[in-house]
Amino acid sequence: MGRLFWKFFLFIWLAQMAGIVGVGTYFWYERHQAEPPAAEAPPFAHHPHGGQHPPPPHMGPHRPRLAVVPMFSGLIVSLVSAFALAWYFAKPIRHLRRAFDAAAGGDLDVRIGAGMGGRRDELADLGRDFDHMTDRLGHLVEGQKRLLHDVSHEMRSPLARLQAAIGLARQQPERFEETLERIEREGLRLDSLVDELLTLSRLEAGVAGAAEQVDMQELLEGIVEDARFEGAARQVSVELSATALPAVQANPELLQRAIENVVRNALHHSPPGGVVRIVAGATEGRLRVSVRDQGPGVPTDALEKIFRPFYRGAGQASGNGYGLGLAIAERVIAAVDGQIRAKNGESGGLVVDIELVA
Amino acid sequence: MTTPARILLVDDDVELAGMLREYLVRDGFEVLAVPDGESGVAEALSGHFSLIVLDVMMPGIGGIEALRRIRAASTVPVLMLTAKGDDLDRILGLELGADDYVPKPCLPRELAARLRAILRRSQQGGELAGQAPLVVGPLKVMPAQRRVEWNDTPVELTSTEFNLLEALARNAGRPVSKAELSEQALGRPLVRFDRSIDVHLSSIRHKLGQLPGGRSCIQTVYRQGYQLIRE
Repeated sequence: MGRLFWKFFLFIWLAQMAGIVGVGTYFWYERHQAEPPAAEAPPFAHHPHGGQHPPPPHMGPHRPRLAVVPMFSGLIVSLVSAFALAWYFAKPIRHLRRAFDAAAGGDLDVRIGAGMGGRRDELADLGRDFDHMTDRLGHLVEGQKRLLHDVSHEMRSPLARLQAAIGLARQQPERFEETLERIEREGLRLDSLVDELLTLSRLEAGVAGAAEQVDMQELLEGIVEDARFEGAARQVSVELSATALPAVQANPELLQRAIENVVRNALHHSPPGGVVRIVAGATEGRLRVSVRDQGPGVPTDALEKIFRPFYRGAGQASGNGYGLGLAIAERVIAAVDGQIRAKNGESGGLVVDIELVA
Repeated sequence: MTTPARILLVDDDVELAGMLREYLVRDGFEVLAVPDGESGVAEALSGHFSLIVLDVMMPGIGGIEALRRIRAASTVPVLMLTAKGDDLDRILGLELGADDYVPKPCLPRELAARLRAILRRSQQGGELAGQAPLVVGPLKVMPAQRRVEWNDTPVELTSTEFNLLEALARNAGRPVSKAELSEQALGRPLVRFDRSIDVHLSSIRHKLGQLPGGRSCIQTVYRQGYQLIRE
């Protein structure tokens, strides 16, 4: 039992004692007021026919008796009820404290849940809030841990290739030029990985860049032009149908990157000779861009996971991209109150819908 | 080596596997690289290879599962490529019967040296042909055939496990230090905090029977190493 219990206990008990004493005093005073006439002129003593009547028991011989028994029982009752009340308040707080201690010690799995019993008051609310907090913190920490793990794994692949290339350069000095090129390529990959990670972490910290009016028509046309160039090597064509798009309030650089990432992803999963279709239109203050590819699509249960950092579909070869593109896109779109969703098209392929506030 | 040793390299990073292949071929190995666990297991069980190099992190069936499937049917030496710092994968791999591991970003030179060490040890059998079996209690170690029997029943050991047991049997009755075991069985000096020897030995204990009284025939000697009990 901690200090809080004893404080509650003393407070409640003292309050009750004060109450009892107050009430007792009041009654004593009442009786005292009623008595003096009887005491000053005892009617029975000079009564002509006065017998040996004993004074009625409820009146003291001279002044009213102190009510010892009621006072004593009042004391006991107040002790017990103060104890019970103090327990009732202090117990959940102790419970909360233990949970806070555990959370502070790093155990985010701690939950108050049923520990509050059947209470439905502010303390129970506090317990629920605590559970909610640890839940959220747990998820965040888990996410960070996973990200760190993925990052270190992702760094490892280019590093392993770098070391292999260095080994080759040592072993075959005559092919120095070729291995140097490989080393350079891996260096660039590492650089772009770090770059994407920084973007992602800035976005997660809520830094979305300065927003300005972005001409969506121009932005999409620019992206499509680049994508056509990129797709040409694999005979993947890119179609754009968009007219008179409204402007959008966002950071142009990040928004361009977000949509580009989605289009690139589509290009990437398109079979040779495939078509990536981009359709954009505006309705009721919303601007919708949908990007459709003719690739293999994504299993239904993975449709949300593809926006997670480093998510990689099964059977996807490593070495091209890091699985950060869509994660970045999702965060950029979310930062401007937009939405991004993926679904499988009726005729196969993946469809990514982006919705922005126009 | 007169004929080049055939190595199977299972790694999903095609570019890396290509470079390692190039390096190892130059170094006198014959190498086949496959990009996923399933084909890796199939190739490994074909019996054409004297050593399998298995990457732990692969999409689909990972290296650990591939190792499990290989070990279910074969004792071919397996070297795991594990992520640096991922002790769990490493211990799990060794427990499942991998012969050794190399942390992943590694220099090809290091990988080649490790391959040679494992190959040399697993091919020692031929050179030692005709050597008398070592008998310690119910245990019979036959270096020539690289086979082990416990109470006349054959025990399936991986190449590294066999080497460890052989080293202990040759010194039966006295403790052998972990450093010595590492040199003899793994062909490399002991690294600090390396638990490989302990993991291998615990798996040997598991495979061998117990002495009367429920004791294991391999004893841990505090601060000195391990000892095979001579009755």
